[in-house]
Amino acid sequence: MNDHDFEKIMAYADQELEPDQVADVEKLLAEDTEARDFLARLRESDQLISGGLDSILDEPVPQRLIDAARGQSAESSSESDTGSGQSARVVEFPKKPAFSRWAYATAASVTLLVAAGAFILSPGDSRQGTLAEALNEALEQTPSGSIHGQPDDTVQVMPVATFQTAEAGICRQFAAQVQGQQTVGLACRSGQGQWQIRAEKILAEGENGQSYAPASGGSGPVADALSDLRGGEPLSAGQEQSLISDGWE
Amino acid sequence: MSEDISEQLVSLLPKLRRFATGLTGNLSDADDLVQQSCEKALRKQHQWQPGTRLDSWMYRIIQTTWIDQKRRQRSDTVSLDAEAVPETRDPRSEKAAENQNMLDRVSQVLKLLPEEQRVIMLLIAVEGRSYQEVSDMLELPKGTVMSRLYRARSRVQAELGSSDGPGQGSEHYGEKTQ
Repeated sequence: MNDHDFEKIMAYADQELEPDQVADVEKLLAEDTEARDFLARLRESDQLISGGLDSILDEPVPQRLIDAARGQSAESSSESDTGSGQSARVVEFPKKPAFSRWAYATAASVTLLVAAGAFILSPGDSRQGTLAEALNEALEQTPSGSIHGQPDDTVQVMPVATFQTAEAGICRQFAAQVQGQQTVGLACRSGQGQWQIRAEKILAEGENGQSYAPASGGSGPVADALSDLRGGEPLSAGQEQSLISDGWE
Repeated sequence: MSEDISEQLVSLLPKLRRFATGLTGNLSDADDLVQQSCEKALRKQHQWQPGTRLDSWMYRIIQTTWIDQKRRQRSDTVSLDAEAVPETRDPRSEKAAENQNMLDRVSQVLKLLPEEQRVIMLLIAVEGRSYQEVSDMLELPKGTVMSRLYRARSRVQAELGSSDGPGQGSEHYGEKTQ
């Protein structure tokens, strides 16, 4: 009996073998006590594990979970409207720019908490092109916490934090003001100075721009995108600066 | 579609709690994890493809949410020692206490497994998924699923063998899998 034999017996127990392999294993089981013991213990331990956990199936399900599944919990009721990103919503734009309210977010290790009441623009909106263009420049060159653009510019961008992700390489969280609208999002470098927006959310008027949370601990589309891309903790200012200096290579 | 998904999610909750308990080691953390995962699923429901299994999609969301949580908590790593597991015992009945005992014991054993082995053990030994389904779900080669499952089971058997007393032949699993 070797590892291969044990693995075959395991696959036999899990009904994963082809018919000819089944015959081989059954022959082994008929001839070898160790093989039979292994199979018996495997089934016994599987039963113990599943039996212990199965007791949970008989437990009453807490109401908060039922509410969450129905989209009625406090958190999801504030987020679910924005989650699909499919439908265009009527957005009441801020009457005056409130750019300064996030300008003090200078630490690379913090990011805007995406809170209730924000909206996503419909695909194909012309502002996306304007934003994308400004992002390429800003995210390529600007350290987190510094603002790219002048107060009178159509678009101002402030990178907020930088992440190394497993799925998309370098990604940066940003806050921007586009034609008076505040927006936050995540963009990943796709090479040669190009940054692709992976998540974006427009802050609604009155939204508390002073709510901050670590990027990896927040919720909402930006944090979801970061999680999907398997991003870790934000890079330190030093790590980020050295990447900017080296052209992100 | 939203209502359909919601009602399906509600009906899946007992199974999702079972899976999450296997991952977290206790029902309280499992409920938090399931709640977060349901909220996340509703936000991302446009990504779910009707016609595919909703429970598989939810297992994946629960698993990634759990891994994210663990990653965030890694600075204050929880001891893998089994004594970290105890839960408040349910005084309602002997049956409840017995269930709790079994759950505690299972949780202790599962906690000894690395995350990547535990999830595979749960999906195959508890949820009854095939190797191919788990391979697709976790985006791992089938051979990797098998070898991790084998290592997980070996560890579980060695552990149960040593805590049971008789421990017939359990020694070789530990050695073989190093």
